[in-house]
Amino acid sequence: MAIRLRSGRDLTAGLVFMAVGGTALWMSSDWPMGTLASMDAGYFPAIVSSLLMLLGAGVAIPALRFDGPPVESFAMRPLLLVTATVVVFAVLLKYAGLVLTIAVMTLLASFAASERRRLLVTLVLGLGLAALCVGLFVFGLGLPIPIWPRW
Amino acid sequence: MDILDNLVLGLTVALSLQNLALCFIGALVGTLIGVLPGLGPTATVAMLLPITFYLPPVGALIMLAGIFYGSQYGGSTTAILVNIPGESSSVVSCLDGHAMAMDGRAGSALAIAALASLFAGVVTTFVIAIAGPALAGVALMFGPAEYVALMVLGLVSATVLTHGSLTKGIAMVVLGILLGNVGTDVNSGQIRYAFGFPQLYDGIDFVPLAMGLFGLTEIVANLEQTQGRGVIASVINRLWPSREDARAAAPAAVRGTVLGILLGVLPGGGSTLASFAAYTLEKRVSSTPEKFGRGAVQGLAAPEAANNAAAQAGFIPMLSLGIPPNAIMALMIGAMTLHGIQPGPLVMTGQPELFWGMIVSMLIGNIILVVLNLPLIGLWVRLLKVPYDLLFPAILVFCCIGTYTLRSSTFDVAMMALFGVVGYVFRKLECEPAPLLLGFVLGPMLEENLQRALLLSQGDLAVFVTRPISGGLLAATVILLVLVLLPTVKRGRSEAFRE
Repeated sequence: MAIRLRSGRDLTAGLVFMAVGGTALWMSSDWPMGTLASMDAGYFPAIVSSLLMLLGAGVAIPALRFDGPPVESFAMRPLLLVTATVVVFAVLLKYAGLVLTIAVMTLLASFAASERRRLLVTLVLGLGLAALCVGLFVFGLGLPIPIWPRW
Repeated sequence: MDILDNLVLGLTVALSLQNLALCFIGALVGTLIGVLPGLGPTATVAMLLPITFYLPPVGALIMLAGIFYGSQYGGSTTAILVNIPGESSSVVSCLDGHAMAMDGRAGSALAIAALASLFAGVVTTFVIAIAGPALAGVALMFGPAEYVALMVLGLVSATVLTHGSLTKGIAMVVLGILLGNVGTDVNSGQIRYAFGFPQLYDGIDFVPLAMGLFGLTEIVANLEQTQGRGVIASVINRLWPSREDARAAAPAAVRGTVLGILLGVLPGGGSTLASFAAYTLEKRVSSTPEKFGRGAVQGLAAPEAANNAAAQAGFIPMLSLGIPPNAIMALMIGAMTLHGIQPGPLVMTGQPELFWGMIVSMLIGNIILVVLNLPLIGLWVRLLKVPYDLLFPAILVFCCIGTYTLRSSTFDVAMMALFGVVGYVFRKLECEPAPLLLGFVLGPMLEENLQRALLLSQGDLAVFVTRPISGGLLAATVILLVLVLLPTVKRGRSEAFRE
């Protein structure tokens, strides 16, 4: 008998909780448990992750029986581009410096917006933002951030 | 008198030039960002948290508090003028506030919102000054068992009062507690859930977590909504409300304030619930309920007072017990820990200048807000017209720099990106991120107190039930859960949130 998916959204949420709880429980089994009176490193994580699995089941099982909405579609473009923009900062900053990093970030981020601007506008925005950040954070607050690329 | 002495102490702290300036800047920046649509107070405070890292603790908290109520205020301004709530707690202000603005009474509406907020802020500050120390006195008698019970009550009621599925909310709390376990276990030195990353040995940092879950997720969600923002530039003629408007608004503001304080202290209550509840109450007690939604002054004054009162009342459990009732207070606790302050009842006696300085600065901040905002309204309206596609790259860059500079760690920035994705996925699954943040903040405290309580009782679980305060708190938790699960209340709850 095929199980009909009634509430995709809740089922997914429940399965996510169960998977995370299960993994965490499995990992915690490596650590000494101790006793209730003197808990060791593994005790509390084991309780918490078991509880998470239970709650996950509590979300997933009703989702098999009652109708509910499916998982809404993801807006992949803004999600990926925003994430990529942040990752660019993490990867690039130490080598390329703040100015170049911000320029690349604004360029990348501009693809996430629904309406596109001319390349020139984006570049001006990026350079203006870079100048503002260098002035504010590096010169103003004296934060130790590299400005220019390291060769 | 004791309170008077303390208020004087607070006054000397809050009126120092530096703290006054920080309060002012906080309120200004908070309003500035609060006016921008789609950035609520939680995201604003999360994003600006790193800036305050370089300030002395008192100054940092004063500025954060300023940012917080500034952003709240900014949200109402846009709600009234252009029918865009800057954040969820000003959704109700749209109803009658915007109707008043369309009716040519924009200035009057803004002034009533500002004055109702001011009134609520002042009253709540005095309530904090009186109730905070009293509660802290009680809290000093708490042992580990009582703290465990209190945290369980706090976490459960936080999920009960936020909307959405109860099971999912509790699961998010538990997930947050689990995330709080990452890092080195303080007792045994065992490293847990670090996946081999030495950067995680000290645990997940609070800032990338909060900024990812609230800031980045919010940006993606805003980009997803493509519909244009209609801007109605209302002409502001006169700022002062007419005598009859003022007379109608005053009692509503008082009712809103009382309701706001009560709901704000409750875990999970917060300003959104308070503003909705105040609106509903006004509609019930009004002799002309048909006017609501068409520019009834009471429908604006009450929720505005309520959301401000609730927002500030949240400081009571946060400051006196170290237990955050909502996500913003969790952020405040995060800020305190960043500065090496352990939040809890000892703050009041150990660092009175911090506690009282902050309270008095709230009073001053509320006045600054009114003085600042009424003349600057034109500027805020213009700011609203900045297109989002030019705005969000700047917000992204600021988020990155803010997270990076905390520990000069690009790893933290990558973590923020990860939590941005996680937050977005959970948003799509209708799982609220706020309970997760509460769980994350309270997790380590919960583990420590649980261990200590059971060590003292030699492993006897009955300790949580037999100690009167702890037993009472747990009984309250059970009653709360049973009440919510009763079918009649369940229906009422979903109706209340729909309204």
